Amino acid sequence: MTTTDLELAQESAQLVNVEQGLVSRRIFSDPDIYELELEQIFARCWLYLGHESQLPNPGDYINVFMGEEPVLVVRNRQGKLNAFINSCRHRGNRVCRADAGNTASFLCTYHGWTYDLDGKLIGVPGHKELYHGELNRGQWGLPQVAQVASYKGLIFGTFDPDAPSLDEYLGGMRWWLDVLLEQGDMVAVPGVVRWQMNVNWKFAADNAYDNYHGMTHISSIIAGHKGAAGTTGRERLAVSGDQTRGISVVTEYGHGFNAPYIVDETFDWDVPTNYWRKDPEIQKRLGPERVRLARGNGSVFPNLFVNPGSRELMIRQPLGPGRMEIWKTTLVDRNAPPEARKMFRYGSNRHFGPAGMFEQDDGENWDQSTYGARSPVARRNELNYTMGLGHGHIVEDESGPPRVENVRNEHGQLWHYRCWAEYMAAPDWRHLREHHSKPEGTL
Amino acid sequence: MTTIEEGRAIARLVDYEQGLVSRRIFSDPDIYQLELEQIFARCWLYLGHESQLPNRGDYINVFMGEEPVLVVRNRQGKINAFINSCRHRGNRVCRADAGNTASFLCTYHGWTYDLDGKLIGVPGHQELYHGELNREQWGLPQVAQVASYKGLIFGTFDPDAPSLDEYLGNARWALDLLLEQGDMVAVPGVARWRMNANWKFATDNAGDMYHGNITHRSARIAGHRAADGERTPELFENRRRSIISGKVGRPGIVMLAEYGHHALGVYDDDDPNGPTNYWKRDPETAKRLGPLRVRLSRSNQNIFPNLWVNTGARELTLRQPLSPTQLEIWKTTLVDRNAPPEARREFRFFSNRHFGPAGMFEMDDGENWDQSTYGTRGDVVRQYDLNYTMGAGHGEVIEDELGPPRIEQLFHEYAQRWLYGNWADYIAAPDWRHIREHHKRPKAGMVL
Repeated sequence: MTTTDLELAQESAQLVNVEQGLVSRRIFSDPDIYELELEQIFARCWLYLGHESQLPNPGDYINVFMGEEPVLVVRNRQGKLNAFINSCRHRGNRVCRADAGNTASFLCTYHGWTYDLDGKLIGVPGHKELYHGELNRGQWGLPQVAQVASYKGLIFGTFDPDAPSLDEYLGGMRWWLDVLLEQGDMVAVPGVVRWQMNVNWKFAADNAYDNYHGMTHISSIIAGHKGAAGTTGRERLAVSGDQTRGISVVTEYGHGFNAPYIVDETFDWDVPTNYWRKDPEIQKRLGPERVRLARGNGSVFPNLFVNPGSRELMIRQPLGPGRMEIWKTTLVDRNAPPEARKMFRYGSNRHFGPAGMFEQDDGENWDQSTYGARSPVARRNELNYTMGLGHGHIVEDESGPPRVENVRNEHGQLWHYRCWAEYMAAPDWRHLREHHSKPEGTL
Repeated sequence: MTTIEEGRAIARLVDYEQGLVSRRIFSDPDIYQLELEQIFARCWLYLGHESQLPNRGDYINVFMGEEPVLVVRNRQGKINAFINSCRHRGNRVCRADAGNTASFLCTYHGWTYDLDGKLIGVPGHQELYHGELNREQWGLPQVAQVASYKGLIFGTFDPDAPSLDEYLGNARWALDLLLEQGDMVAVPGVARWRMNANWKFATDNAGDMYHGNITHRSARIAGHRAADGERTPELFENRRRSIISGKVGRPGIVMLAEYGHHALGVYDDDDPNGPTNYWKRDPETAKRLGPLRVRLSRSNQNIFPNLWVNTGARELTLRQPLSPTQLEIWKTTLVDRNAPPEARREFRFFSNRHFGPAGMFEMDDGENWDQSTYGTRGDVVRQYDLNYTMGAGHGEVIEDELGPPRIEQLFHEYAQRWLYGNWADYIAAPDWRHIREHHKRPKAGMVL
């Protein structure tokens, strides 16, 4: 990144006014800002790549994206997970086109350069005759993802060798990720569901914290949408908890979630999808605070949406300032009772996904928000993220991470943009680790 | 926002004196963005006709540049205009093309605005915003000024823009040729279609009498008829030969007005007794318009920047920019409430077959603008300026009791040079104060 680019990125960071809860519409449509995001955020942060159960055997691979970079995640002969950019060093072609599979090596179909499961260049047609044996294959391997690590089955990677460890990066967010990951012996349903929208990725990320837009989904409920538990409309209170009481949590490096508490008087423990909550082992592992959380929505910065209610992980892949592709992976508990599995399966399909009823409601909203961010006069009017501003008193005790005891607010959204601005302005990870925001005091 | 220096540098891509225009201004995305700021966010833009929203609560959903704008008649009968974009997340608060409503509700979170654009409903204002959100400050962004000229509603985003009357100036003299034809109202519905063309090539064409005999020959051969039913390939062939042989027999005028407008008028080349000329035979109308305008059988006008007015077919056609190389055309046809049935019928057929998504002339023209736009993209071809020199140095401006400053010629490029000259002035100008002091003014005795 050049000095000019850094100055531009630092200027972009000024477009988020944390004190007043105002965010400029420009950050959702400006192509220069988008290019800077790819550098300052997607080429730096730990990004979700997939679930370990998607590649159990040596030679298994999945073909994914980190920002706009095509990346191969591969289990090598020793069983270790590698990740490298899927782009031949000779002319840049992808060396593998399949979504997933098992292989011994990757052959570029242009001239035949071949790479092994560690990304090392092992085959160059005509190495002796045409390159006179002078090409140093040791220097021409596939570009490596600098760090690859897993958290309870979720594989992450970062292009930045100076990024902190995955554990440090996820920090307090792990406490809530466990609400999904400790529900049982969780594995990924085969296949990633993908679809595209005319949306800036941040509006989708922002919506992960949005407990205010429920009126949007009235259309789905009228049309007969049912939750995973098979309930409709008002009955959902019986499983979804109290929309006015719950917690909002934001954590270091940009993550966070909102989750309502279950309401003892109405909560139905006998709904099959609640089987795991009754398991004494799981209750013990999660502790009383987390077992009280009905469900919730959260975001691992920058672009992973986590929905423990329907057991979904969704990446909002940027494709340009006004376009994104969503990648949805559903987790299942290998030991779930058949009836619960069936309900989860239906819930996952009808809720979010290309044919999901809620997805269509939401996608339409994000499309509209993106549209409203493009034109120069409309863009002079900042968006409003003031809900609850100055009222988010952070409680700190031993029962959970620092949190606000309130579930409907815009603390999470503003936190997302605040951290976005910090990444944009920071010259490097050393600076970020010293100067990033921490949840304390009042939001 | 580009700096003033950059604006001035871009303005120099138009050489007004030499009649040369750089191809870059038709395809460069940065110049396009600058146009949205310096022209579309400043000029008075046509929004619609008052007859499209006669009742309280009526609204139409339109565009000003790329801004989606709601034009609304409020409870007091006043016409308002504001950007159709919720202040919370930016979603449009209304999707219908037109209708009647008591308020506008954003379907994302339910923020609700009244007919003046004021924020009147915020779900959870007490419980979630703690009563602290100042609703007064979060209304829909207002169009700074809204005004009408004889039924045509215009708006500008710039509070410092001059009044609509000053902005239109002598263009009003030309607009009256359409607006005084009778009790004019808009035909319901706006016809919309898209082309891969820079908006300026379409605008430029409003002043172009030079292309007709070549370009539109195909439509004539295919049987196109004018409003008066004229269907004479022979006549057309004679005209074509006269152009080729340099005998430009058809007389007419071009009127140039301050702030970039122009009007071309063709002296009577149609049948004065034809059904569509009923209004000219009305002594009251003839008196109002005076002898010069009554002689004009039709007129092509451009209200800067992008409203094309065709008095012959009674059409108002907006060339909405969608990108440097894409435009959407919005066509509204006016009718005279008191026109004789035969004239109404002729006008209806004419409006459909002439311009519009299925218009025969439209296809001829659209193909040309598409080609012109295509020709401005390559880096090498862009080094070659486009030629707008026709008639340069031969256009003497006259002014008399018959009408405002004009040139008594029909085939030339005075109107196009005027368009790009004024375009450059807007692009370079820091604000309206500067434009009002330094803009081009046509005066008797000038030679253009």
